Amino acid sequence: MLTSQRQVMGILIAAVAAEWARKGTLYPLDTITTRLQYSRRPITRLQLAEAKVADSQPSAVTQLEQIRTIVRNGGGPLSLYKGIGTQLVGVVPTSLVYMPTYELVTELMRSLDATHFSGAGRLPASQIASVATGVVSSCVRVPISVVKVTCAPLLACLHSLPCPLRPRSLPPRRLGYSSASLQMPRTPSRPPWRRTGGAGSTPAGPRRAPWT
Amino acid sequence: MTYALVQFSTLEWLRVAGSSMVHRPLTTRENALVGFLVGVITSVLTEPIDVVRTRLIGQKRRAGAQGPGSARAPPTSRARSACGPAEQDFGYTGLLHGLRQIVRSEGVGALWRGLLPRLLLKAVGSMIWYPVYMRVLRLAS
Repeated sequence: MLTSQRQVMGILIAAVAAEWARKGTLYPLDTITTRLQYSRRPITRLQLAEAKVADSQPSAVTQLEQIRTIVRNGGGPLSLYKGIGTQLVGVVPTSLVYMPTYELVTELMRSLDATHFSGAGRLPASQIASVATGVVSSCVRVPISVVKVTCAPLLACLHSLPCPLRPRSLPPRRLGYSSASLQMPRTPSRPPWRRTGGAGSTPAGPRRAPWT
Repeated sequence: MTYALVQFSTLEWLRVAGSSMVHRPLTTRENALVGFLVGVITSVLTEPIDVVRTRLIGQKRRAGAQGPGSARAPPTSRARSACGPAEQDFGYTGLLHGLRQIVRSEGVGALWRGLLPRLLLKAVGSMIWYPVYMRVLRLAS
């Protein structure tokens, strides 16, 4: 039986660590997938050319080219990790119930089987524990999802995607949509006081932000 | 719940099969292989439910945004996000109805639409998740 506090703590720590490892490793892929899913189709080379990243032949582009554009206009590969902190915190509640529920219910079922059926394996311990895990994790996941959806109106993401995949008519504004996976930095990513050329540009030398 | 059921059933089966083959506790690499196989099998088996779920969520969201009495779009493509192409109202009333409708109107293959990215994410994710869990559990316990 998993009765000792040390064992339960071990399961809790292992569950969170495993989820963090998974999330941290796959976060860039997850971000790219989300941004691709949220971009409009069909994307043509002409649309990419308008963003000055490709030639002007209007033909369909591959997903690889779209990914390159997303990474480039986002500010480099590191931009794919934006918002990872929020995501790592967000997976903790589900992790804390997912594996612990499974392990504890499995042990409970096995002990019941040993008590009532002399350990003949008549109780489908794993299956019962799986169902319990699904129910318990849903009880945690669903309220979190509801809060997420309520706090982050999905329509605002249209305006918070200042990438070449977004229609030109939409202004490059952020309308308060703060979901990490949908955040894409504005292009160009350089701050105004660092831009060169044009009226009002500062000469070479140490530059300061306008508000300092 | 279905995902957990398939995932843990497969995991237990592979764990027992692996241990009985090598006659010792599985190493981290072997656990990674077990995790990968669990991810692959679970993704393939639960993809039809995921497709219907995605469409149900999409059509509910659209119905909620348009309000009652709004015109229904024809069920021609899979529901996408708010920023993607217009979401479709497939007219599904539930999971089983959705499964039946997909098979009837689009064929059995449509049940596994979008499998590849999900397979990649789940299989690789499981390949990382399971060995790390077992390793940390062993260290912590």
